[in-house]
Amino acid sequence: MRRTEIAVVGAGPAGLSAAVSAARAGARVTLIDRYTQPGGQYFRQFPLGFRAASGPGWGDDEAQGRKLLAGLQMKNLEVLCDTAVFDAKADGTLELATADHSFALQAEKLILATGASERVIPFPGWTLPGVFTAGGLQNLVKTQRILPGRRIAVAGSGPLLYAVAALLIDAGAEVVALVEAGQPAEAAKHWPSLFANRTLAFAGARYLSKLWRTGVPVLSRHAILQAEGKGQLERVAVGKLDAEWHPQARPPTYFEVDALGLNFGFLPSIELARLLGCQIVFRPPLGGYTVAHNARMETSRPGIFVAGEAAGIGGASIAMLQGEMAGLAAAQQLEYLSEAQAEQHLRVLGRRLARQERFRDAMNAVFGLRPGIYDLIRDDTIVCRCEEATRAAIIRAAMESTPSLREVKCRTWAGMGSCQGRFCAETIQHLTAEALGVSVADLSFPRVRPPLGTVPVAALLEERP
Amino acid sequence: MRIGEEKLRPSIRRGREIWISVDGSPLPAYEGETIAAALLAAGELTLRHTDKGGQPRGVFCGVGLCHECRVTVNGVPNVRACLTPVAPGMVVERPAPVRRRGS
Repeated sequence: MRRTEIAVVGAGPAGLSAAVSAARAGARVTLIDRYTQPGGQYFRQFPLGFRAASGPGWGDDEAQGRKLLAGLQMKNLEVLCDTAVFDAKADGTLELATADHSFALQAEKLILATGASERVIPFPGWTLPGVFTAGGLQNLVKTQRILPGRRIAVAGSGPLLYAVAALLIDAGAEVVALVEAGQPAEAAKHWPSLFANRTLAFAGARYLSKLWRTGVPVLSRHAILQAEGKGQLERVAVGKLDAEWHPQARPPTYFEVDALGLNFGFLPSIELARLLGCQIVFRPPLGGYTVAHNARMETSRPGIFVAGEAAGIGGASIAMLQGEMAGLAAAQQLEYLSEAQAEQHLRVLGRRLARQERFRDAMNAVFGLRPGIYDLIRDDTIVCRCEEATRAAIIRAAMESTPSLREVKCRTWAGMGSCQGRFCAETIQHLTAEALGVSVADLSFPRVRPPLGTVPVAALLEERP
Repeated sequence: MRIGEEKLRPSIRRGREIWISVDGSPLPAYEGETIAAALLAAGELTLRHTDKGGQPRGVFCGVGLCHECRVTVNGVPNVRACLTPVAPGMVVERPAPVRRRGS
């Protein structure tokens, strides 16, 4: 079996920072990522085969991203790309798979930097070709340099929508509307907190001013009620929401569109932490279920750390600080630095983190999901895209069975498809809780079982030491 | 459609032009692009139809999580178009819609 001192899972901002800080302290580190190139979604690199005239185009964080990627050259830092964790034991053994083989890696310390996925709330028509997640659309435009259509709308809630809309304008698309469930003007109320991350606050102002200059309607307290089209997206119906995001009974406004990007924030990716038996806490403002941790980013399982979005949605600045903290704390446990040295570093980082958390909390207050939005889902709306389970089927299963999410899953297969519930689990939890008149936190979760994600059978058959 | 190489910063150079086959027809692509990008550039949004309802689906999450964009590549089924780079002579098939059982 291969061995390492510290294994870091996920090479986005949190994982990169964790790996680099632990390696700088002297530890032998293995950084694992499922994609072909490190960077995650935030520091996404251009595809191999493209040549960029200058840097990768990460805007305000370009210098930091380059520094982290340069850090991967350290001799005591091994990077395993195109490699997915499909099983893990609490003793630090990770079962890893590439496209054609599998192997085990035994680590003394684990750092989980598994990131997040996009939150999308279903509505009629959301499965039509032409409907993307906003992050998926951003990726296509930014790194693949493709526009999937000319007229594009972005909808949902939160800062990503503005960044994507501005990018689409620069790319030459006609952004027909930015449909925002929240009330961005409320951000002004939180102005002292906005100073905690001036770079992001200015970026937001830049995006808004671009939208105004280009004449893009920014419709706050609105949502897409329905996407329509024959075989693919052709138009969207946009309607007004009340303060709790319930759709209001008023005639909608229609926009002709070729493509749509959706995002209602992000959901922490906690499957690996759950498999390892780490304690999970329900923190709705931070994206729902998050991995519990102490001030040193250590989880309830000693020697297992968490950093970034899996610990609660907070953005890249927070992820990088938490990553650095987790890397140092893990290296300290292996005695690469003294307790006094670690304490000193961690105190400085902790202060910077507290500042960033103020900014995060202000953003969450403005854009945080409100329950009325689930009223967009009609009885015949598909909730689980993989198994094509509708809202009605899920509610029926919830009402007829012993109340548990496991039952709903078994009866409808919702959440059992190839996305493993990534895009429907939260909605199913909400619908089940609502049908049973309980709160989401009261529902017991179906267990996480290996394999995590999809593993090619060829990889399982070809086991290497 | 493809965005001009100079349109966004930083400007880029795509890889060399190659050809792939999609459902038997030739489709131009550039090295570095994913199968999904090459199809979307040609305005092809639909990648498959669902097993149960026969509904059309295309790229959704774009980062390999939702598995909506799966196609058959060189005879191998369930390949995610959003993650898989094109290669010269690659044969991509979008399975024909299956008729809904019992209807």
